Amino acid sequence: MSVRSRTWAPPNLLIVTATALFATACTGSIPDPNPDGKHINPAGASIAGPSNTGTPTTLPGASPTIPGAVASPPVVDKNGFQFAGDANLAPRLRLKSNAEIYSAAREVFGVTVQDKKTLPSEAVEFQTGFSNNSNAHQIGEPLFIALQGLAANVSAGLSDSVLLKYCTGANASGTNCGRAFIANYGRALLARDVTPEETDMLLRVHAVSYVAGADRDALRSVAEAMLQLPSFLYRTEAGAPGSKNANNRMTPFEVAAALASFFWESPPDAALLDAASSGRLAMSDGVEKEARRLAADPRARAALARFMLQWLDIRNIELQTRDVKTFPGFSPAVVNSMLQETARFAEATVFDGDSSMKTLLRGKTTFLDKTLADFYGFGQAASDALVEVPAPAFKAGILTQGSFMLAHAGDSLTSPIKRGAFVRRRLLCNPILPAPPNAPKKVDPPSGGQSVKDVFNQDRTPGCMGCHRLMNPIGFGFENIDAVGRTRQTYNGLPIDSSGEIWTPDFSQSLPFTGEVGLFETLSSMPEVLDCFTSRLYQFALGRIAGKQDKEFLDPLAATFRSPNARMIDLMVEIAKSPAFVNRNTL
Amino acid sequence: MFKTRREMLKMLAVAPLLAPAFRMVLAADAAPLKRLVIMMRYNGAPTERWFPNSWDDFSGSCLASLNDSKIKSKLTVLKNMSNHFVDGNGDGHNQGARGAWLARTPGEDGISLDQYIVDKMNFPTARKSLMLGAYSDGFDSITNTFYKAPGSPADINADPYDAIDKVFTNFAPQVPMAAPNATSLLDKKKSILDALVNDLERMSKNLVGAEKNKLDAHLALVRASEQNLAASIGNMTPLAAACKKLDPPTNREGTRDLAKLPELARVQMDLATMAMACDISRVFVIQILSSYTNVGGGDVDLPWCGANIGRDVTSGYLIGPGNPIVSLHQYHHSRRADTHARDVYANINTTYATLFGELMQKMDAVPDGTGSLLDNSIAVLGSEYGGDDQDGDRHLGANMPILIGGGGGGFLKTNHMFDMQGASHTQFLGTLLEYFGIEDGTGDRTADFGNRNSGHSYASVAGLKV
Repeated sequence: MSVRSRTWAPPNLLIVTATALFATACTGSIPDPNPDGKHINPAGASIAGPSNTGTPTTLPGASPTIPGAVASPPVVDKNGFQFAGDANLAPRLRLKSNAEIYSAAREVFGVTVQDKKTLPSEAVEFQTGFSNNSNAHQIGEPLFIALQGLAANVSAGLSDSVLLKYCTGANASGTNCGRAFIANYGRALLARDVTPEETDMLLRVHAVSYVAGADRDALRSVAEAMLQLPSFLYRTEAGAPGSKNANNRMTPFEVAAALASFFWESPPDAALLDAASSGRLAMSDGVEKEARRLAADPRARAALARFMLQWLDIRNIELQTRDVKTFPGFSPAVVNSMLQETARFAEATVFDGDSSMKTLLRGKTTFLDKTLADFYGFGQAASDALVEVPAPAFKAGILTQGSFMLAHAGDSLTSPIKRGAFVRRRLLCNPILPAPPNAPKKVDPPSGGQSVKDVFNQDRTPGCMGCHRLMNPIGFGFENIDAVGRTRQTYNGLPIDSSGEIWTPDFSQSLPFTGEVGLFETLSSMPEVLDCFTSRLYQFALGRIAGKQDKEFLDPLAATFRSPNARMIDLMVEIAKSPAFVNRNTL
Repeated sequence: MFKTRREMLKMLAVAPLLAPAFRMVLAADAAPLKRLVIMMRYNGAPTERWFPNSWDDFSGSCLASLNDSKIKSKLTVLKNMSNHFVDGNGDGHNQGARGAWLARTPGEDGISLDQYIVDKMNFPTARKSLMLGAYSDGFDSITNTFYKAPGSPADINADPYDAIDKVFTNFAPQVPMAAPNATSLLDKKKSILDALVNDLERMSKNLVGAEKNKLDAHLALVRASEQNLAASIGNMTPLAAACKKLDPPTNREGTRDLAKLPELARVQMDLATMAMACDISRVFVIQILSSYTNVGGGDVDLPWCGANIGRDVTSGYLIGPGNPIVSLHQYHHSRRADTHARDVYANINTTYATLFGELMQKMDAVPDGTGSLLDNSIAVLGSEYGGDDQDGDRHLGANMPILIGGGGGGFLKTNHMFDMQGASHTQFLGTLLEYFGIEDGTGDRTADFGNRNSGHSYASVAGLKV
């Protein structure tokens, strides 16, 4: 068997060719999509692949090779940023996420929006699962109307201490008071100094509502306008207008807003704005210093939890229902505790622990409250407070937690297909098409004497296994965990066989494993998994899909994250320093 | 969202009025407004039990509860109409869903009739359409029925309490404001919109291409809001005395409880009726359940149809022999051999007919011009395909169980059962387009609706019209 050298390629470059490949394999009309046992790899070269007959050959003891050579040393400019070459860094406009808008109302005006459904949910980009994709998340009529309502309600709820905070001394009332309000709250909301033109524009709003002696109404009108201002709702990543430079730095205030958005999903705080106005964010080490400060703030934990929910596709987990006869004790409270478990585990791993992919996927502990400890049947927890407990057998890392298991399972059965497809798509950045229209919608539960493998290995429709052998054998590794995240040793009266295999994304090797531990052991040492995570975090930070032009930025980031003892927190900081994050070709 | 700059400019030119707080209503003597209400059910109906034997006697059919109803004279039953997109060969779920309101074949993208009408008509209402549902989740690319743009399913809000919040939170039209207050409030809103325009114009200078288009789209929304504001000044005559802000019930439980399906549907029906009275929208969809409505594990009693998910055991297509039923859909597939499944399937349809009748009564109770909301609107109880007990394992296009309420202000004949003689349902869709003044299949104006290449006629049906 010839083995293609496993150098890194930006995962998204695989899409076009690999989609064509899978489409052929998955349309169902071709009984054997791979008659001569060969796959065409994405680069077009014929390579040895999984054989359709007999047991797939595996490379004995093969641990995936980590390529030594990456890109040649990057060119670094005088401010410490890498040179971005000819990449497409066109100016961009980023509509803030709902979380960012709620957080601005809270951080700047002290108003907490209780109903998180006030604004309609952002559109989710299918491939990454992220809701901050700037092409998917755009203004539309429902959002526009909801924002009008939110601005009216927040401004109506402003307390005197907020409204009149800056209206003192010579600015106690009238236009001066309005001007002080605009300058101070405007800077916090717009994450930069308010321009004279903008001040005049908002003073006109003030003037229309102003009646002598009644400052509050006029200030509320100004606040209502500010919360709907496109300058607030969007972040620009455009650089200084008029400089017409390729590969120019974004303005320091744009960098500040981008950092706060990535690390906090919030507007910048005063210290970050000061770092921008003092010029510190024009330097790479200044960006690093601020990035590390933001990462140490509690706001970073909430933002990371939201990233994890999206990455793991568990955001709508509270909609999951289960039959309580099959799963005694299952309740909305359990689901809520599961979300907390995952958020806390992710935080503890990324911010308090060694911040490694290995720990995220193979952690030996987890965090339970009493509700969840009772439900899972392991761990000691006395109250609603989460406590760290050792994970029992079969539980290893974030993908074995209840939240993930619940989101990627059927109503009563586990789903090796969903679990395997998730690993393919989200951990290996390997595109798997949705099931074709003629695929059966439901899988019958195993009948007597049938194991889960018997059910999911059936070649129910000609051609199914062409795709499904890339998913199901991965999903089998999760079989010691049921559809609600509890461990089990048998199913349908049979001992569980949780052995499986992972075909590498280039189909050059099949990596066998046994059980969750083996599965995550194997996954966490695959360079593709590390590269995929790098790419996904990068796409989350940039709010866009990575393409061919991103290779030069992703290569050094991926190399960093592949190194021994690599830390996710460092990866976040490196992404923030990347030219893709801070440079734009200005108009 | 606008796909192209051209589409965006098109909207800019004929922007609908937005901002619900300032939507004023029309004078009572104006021509009746045209409205479409689609209550959409799935999986057809048992032909033998759905259709009454005659118009005079509904007894023994799923429509029995409507027989003595006050609104019976405002109904029409369509018999013998087919969704010809369901050809018995491919996936009936997909063919039915695509054919029903898109008039498309599987794999062919399009826009559904409701949204097509919305696009063509540019109603000056706060909401272009209200897309509501009751336990209507679990849709996918196979079963989605309503599309706002090719490939983009419409957003259906299946949480009635949330839907009421969304529609009515900023709504206060029916009390004419005292002139000074109204003027100052309108002036304030106008000054805010002015600021948004000013800001957008400044931002646009630093962007090009797709990024600039995003701001153009935003600007179109602001302009539409401005137009609405301008139109608000002056005309403050309430449309219907019944229009008042709807307060959502305080008990908001049960949106995930299938046993409460009729209650959920009724909340959406109340919302739709009030939104009609207040002219918040003129196109409504209420989607009841979904094609699959998978309930998962077992022992869920559904008193409204006599089903017991999990305890009922049957066999049929994709259901192994003697397995517990996990979805309502499975009753449909089991009904050939299983009399209990057949009864449940009929009961489900009886519930749909009853709910539809209740909606008709609610609409009929609201005066509108010289008649009622029902008189001046067209309501349809839809289905994506037909069905009968004899061939119960499959989904077939014939005998779509369609019920019509309302005459569209004298456009449709009512109080009869009409035999469509096997005609394609696309002709019924064409009739609805004609009601809105969008021409039926003879001219260019509908060239962008539905599949035009497979011989389906979109000509309106003369026998349905007055």
